[in-house]
Amino acid sequence: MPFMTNAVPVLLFTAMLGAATGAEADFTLAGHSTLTAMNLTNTSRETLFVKKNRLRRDRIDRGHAYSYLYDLGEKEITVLDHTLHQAEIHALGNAATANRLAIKDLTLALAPTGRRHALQDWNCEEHTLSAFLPAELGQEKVKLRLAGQVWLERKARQRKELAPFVKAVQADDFFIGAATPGQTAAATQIQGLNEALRRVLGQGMVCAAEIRLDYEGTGPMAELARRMATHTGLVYESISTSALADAAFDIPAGYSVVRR
Amino acid sequence: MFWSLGRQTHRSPWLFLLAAGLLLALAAAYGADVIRHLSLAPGWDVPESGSANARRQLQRQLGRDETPLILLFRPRPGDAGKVADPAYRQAVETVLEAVGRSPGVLGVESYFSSAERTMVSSQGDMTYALVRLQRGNDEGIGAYQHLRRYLVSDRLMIQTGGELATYVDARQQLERDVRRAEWISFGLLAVLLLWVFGSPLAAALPLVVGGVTVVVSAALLKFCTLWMEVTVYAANVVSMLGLGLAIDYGLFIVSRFREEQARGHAAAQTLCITLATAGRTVAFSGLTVAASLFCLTLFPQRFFQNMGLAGGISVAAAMVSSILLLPPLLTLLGPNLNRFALPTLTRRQASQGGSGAWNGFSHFVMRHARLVLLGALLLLGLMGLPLRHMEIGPADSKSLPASAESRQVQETLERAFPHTELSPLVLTLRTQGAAHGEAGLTALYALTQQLRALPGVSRVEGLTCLEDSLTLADYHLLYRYPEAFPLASGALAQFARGDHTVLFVRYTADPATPAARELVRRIRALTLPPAILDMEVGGFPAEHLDYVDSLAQWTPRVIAAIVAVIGVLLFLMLGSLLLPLKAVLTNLLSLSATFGGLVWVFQDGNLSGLLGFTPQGKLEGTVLVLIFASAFGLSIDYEVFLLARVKEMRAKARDDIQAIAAGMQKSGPIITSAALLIGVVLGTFAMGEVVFMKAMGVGLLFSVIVDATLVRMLLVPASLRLMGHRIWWAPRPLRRLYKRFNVSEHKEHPCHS
Repeated sequence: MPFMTNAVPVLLFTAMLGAATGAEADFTLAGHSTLTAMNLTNTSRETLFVKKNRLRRDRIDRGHAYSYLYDLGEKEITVLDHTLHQAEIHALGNAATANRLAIKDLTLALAPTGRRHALQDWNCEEHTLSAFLPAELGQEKVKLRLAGQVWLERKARQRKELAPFVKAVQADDFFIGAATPGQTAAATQIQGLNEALRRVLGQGMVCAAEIRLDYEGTGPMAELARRMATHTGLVYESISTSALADAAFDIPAGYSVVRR
Repeated sequence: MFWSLGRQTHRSPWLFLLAAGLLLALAAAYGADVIRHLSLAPGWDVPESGSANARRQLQRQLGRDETPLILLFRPRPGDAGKVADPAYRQAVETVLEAVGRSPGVLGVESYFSSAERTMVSSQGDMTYALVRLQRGNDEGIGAYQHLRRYLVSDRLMIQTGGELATYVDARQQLERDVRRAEWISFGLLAVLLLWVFGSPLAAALPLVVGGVTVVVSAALLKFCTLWMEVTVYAANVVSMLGLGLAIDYGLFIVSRFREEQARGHAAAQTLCITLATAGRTVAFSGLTVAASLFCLTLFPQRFFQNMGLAGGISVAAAMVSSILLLPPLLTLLGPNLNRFALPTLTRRQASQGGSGAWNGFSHFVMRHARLVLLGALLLLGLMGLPLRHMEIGPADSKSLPASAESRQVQETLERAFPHTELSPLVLTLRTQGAAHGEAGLTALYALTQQLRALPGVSRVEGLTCLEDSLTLADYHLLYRYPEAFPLASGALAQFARGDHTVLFVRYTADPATPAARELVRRIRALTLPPAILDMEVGGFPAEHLDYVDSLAQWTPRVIAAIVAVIGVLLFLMLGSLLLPLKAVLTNLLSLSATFGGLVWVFQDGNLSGLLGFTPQGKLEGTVLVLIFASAFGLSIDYEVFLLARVKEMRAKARDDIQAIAAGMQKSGPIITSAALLIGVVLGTFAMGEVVFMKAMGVGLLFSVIVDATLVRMLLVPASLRLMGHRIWWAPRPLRRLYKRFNVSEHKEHPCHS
């Protein structure tokens, strides 16, 4: 199971943000992300709260509760670790600049299958995704392969009120990768994934995805990683437009704050 | 000494009372919050044992200071919901999300996060989640109690289980049981004391001593917490033993005072004789019982040390209160002690005097001593027979009432989740170099293979157990670049830190059975690969194995210490070398009958319907040790009451037979009354819902009954009669020593105040 498995749901979620932030009303979206590797499954409940240009994503990863607070205006992401009562603030632009990857080798193909899936009033169209990203495993040069399906809501992408978010995502300094502490080593790969999803966003908003990740290469690391191929998925199951309190997007009282 | 105390007390009773009142007020003020200073952690661990070392390494070297909690989810009655339903999942996840944010929660694992099929019941209608709680200084109880507020769902019923929940349920139930027992026993004692004494004033005195004892003991217990951790269970011991013995001692002294009053002595003389006889007996008895309880502090487990300390403190407080508080009260009350006496009861009391039934009975025993001795031995032997198949095992949630939540969870898991293995063995290992280095991984891989090959092992979890298809070479590659593989970095975070690592071994046996303990022995006997420097095995079966091994190692030493202490104190009191030996032997016989009774009831399940408990199929070791120490102490108590009177009579009677009969006549009613009173206290504790407390109450009650009847009324007098004057033998040097330190004061001197 290679490095980016935790990053993929994050990036899929990023794509989801595009659809959410465009509306005037507050949004709450609920669903699940799943990661399966080596017969081990880790399913996390994913809840997304959106209020203007502030977003909050809650997830429980192996029993640890995390919240991610995104401030698209300030271009900051704050990771709340509810077990440790700790908040880490990351500047999105810094992360992007520091890990800028030459992504000229990135190839991505997205083809509609004609099948559809409804998420309340969204009409999500199924697409086959195939992408290759340059990567490094240990000291081996390899290619990460993403293959699977993504479901896109194309009309949501075209809504006028989504323009500020689309602009933010397409800007060079936008980055929303390895915000979870300890994932920085995989930042270059995550930047590649980030780029892949930015291209997906150009086609529409993601409402679900199922992707298999593995590697191409001839060395022992690639061979091992291939045997540890990962399936990852994200499905949003409900949308709510109930009003959200501003406090839900702030760091809770009593949390220690670390700025990265 | 006691004559002198009698004189001083009679001269200045108010001074004694004032001093006692001041001390009592101070003790009450200081000890009022004792419960807040007592530790919630019981202290069962055997220090430096494999299981204790494993737990310590897990906490200190691997940073895993946690305790598991089980949350069982099931549909509400009438709801046919299944775990597979989205609404069911939604309900579970809503609860777990809140639980995950509760303070002290380190992680939550559910079927919905892991897709682990064994977490769903065979009918598909129930599922459970495992919550990892920070253990901290309170064993995780604070975190557990906090998270309970989030266990609310409109759709599902949620119950908590596991070791921690069982412990909390047991503690809460015990608190309720003890509170109820204290109120009931206090009320019953008041009635019984009135029945025994016939006078409300006389009856009130032992209760006053009992109350004072509990207050003083609580203050002393709090004082002990200044330098050592003391478990909350110690408070129960203070209540049970302190109250019971204080009333016994009070009864003994007040009875003797009234007896001497009836003989027409002057007030001062009455008090002096009472203190020199009954006071002295109580002092020796208290010292003996307290010393035997203090011997429990020789056990390495803090639990026993706490019990010994609390028991010793409460007995000593009862003894001191009886000797220092009762005499000034008796002096001030004087003839008024019998004021407001109830005529009917007074007549009954008077008829119990020197002759009557006790006289006839004692002469019967003297006449048929051989027959009585054989009969008593035969009966005691028969009662001890069930001991032959005694099984010692750990207590689990089945020792709680059927209504207890943690018990229901355990029974549901056993019934509806056939493949659940919730109590893994914990192996902490120290490796040469980093645990995920070449040598460490090679050794771990080899050890994992050895563990998997052991019979009864179903699964091993650790650095080299991620997937069956991975070879040792794969693991080397995986952990060389852990940052490239989240599974590897996750495993490192979960199982290793530097040169320390942990393996979890799942097994098919019930954790409370000998099969699980045998697996621990087998794992400990494995030959470790060279790069593993040491291995400690922990987890529930290992903890229990270490506990039982420790009992086997330390119990004989503790018994020897108790016997030695009792021997010395009884020699100092009686001046005989054989009497202490005989006392120990008869007490051991009495205890074997008590333990036989316990096996027959609690292990074999006889009378379980009547007593309202689920048969355990085993006895908990702690109960046996505590019963041994307490019952041995009580047994000696009665032995001292009887022998002191026989010795006193020996100085006045024509021969030993006369002395024994007279001693029996004089002490018999008091011993019977004392047994009746303490039996009431213990009996109310036996009404408790937790089997642990019930077994303690029933065991001690049984012991008191056997001791006050078979042993003290038949076996002891018969054996004394048959051994004749030889029983008072002691080697010449010891006799000289006894005379030199003679504290015998049964000769009546004038007591001028």
